[in-house]
Amino acid sequence: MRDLLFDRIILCWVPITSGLCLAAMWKKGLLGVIPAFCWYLGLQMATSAIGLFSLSNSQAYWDLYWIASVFGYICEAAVAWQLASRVCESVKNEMNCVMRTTGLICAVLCFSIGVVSARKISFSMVNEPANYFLQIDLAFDEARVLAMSAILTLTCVFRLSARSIPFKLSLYLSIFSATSLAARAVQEFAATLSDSRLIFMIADLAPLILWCILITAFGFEVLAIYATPPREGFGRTASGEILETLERH
Amino acid sequence: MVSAIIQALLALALMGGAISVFVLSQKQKKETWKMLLSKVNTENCHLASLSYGCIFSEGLQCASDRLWSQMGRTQGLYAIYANVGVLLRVLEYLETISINNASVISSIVRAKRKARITRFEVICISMWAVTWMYQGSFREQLGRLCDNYFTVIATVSILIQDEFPDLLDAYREEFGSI
Repeated sequence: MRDLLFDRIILCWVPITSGLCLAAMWKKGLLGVIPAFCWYLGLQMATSAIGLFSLSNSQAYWDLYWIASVFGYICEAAVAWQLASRVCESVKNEMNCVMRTTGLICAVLCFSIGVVSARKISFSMVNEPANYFLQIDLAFDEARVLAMSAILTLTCVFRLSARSIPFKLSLYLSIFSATSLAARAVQEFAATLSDSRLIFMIADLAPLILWCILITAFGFEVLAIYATPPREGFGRTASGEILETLERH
Repeated sequence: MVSAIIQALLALALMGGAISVFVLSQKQKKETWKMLLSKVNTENCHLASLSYGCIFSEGLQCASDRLWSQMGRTQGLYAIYANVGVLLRVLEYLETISINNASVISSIVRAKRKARITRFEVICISMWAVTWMYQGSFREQLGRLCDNYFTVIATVSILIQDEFPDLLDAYREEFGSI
């Protein structure tokens, strides 16, 4: 009963914080920067709200969890792809085809490592379909950590501005991905202990709580720091014209 | 148990990376012009050896083999990578102090794009260098990299001279003359 109450509180918090973040991005006109992220926030709002009502019915909640996870994977993969494209925007025109091929190879590699690693683990406390699902979930978590590591490295190579949205988002998503995987590792460790219920529950809820905190912080940063960028090509200086000549050269 | 340890290590590595990137970005916000200038590497970038045929005259004229040895091979590549990183931070600094000037900001944005391409090219060339394939595309890319490197340096110099002449005093103090 106490667990359910806590779950309800967290499930209430997720759509509220996601909605606030979405509203902040909409207010600053940033919905088009990484559209997949906005879709992801919308999906989270919807699934948490539905989950809140189906919490008392375990079968319905489990079915919803399945569907939400599948859509979540698709959205997260799209967010990672768009984030990587934004981070590499400067060099995209120079070597578009090479970048895409490299990105695809990296994505496949990350997921393959995740699958190979997750296949070695068996969740004995659940039945066979749920075991497969948990393995896919774990594979995706590992792939996400690898992908976010690559994206974070790219932000350092291209020295993205600390004020830019792709930089901030990659930073927050990296922290979230790392915490999720760490929580899974804690859960696996807890499974070997005799009385692990409390550790298991904390590790289960910690990523969700952190997600709410991070997404709220991101929303506030968007509101407080981000100013509408100036129009490119508005007005010209002598140096601007010389620079264009140099670029043509 | 082993997989749990691997997962924990992966998570720790990413968390450590994210925290260090965050700390660096916070430090970057407090950087002054003098601090930035002190980071420019003048010893190892071999500017003097490269600049005799720079883009202001008729482009880089020397052969790629000579260019490769003059720039100090992989050491020169690293110096270019590090220097362009500092120049990117300089551009970032210029962007923060020219917040209301739209035309200057658009020039800075273009310069930043060029600098990022240069850093990416350094990585590509480093990969070629690691495989010891100093032929064809490698030579072409090396020439293009040096061209881009000069463009970035020239762009930043022109921007500072035209739009931020006050900053030149600190530059003179640091390096003697321009």
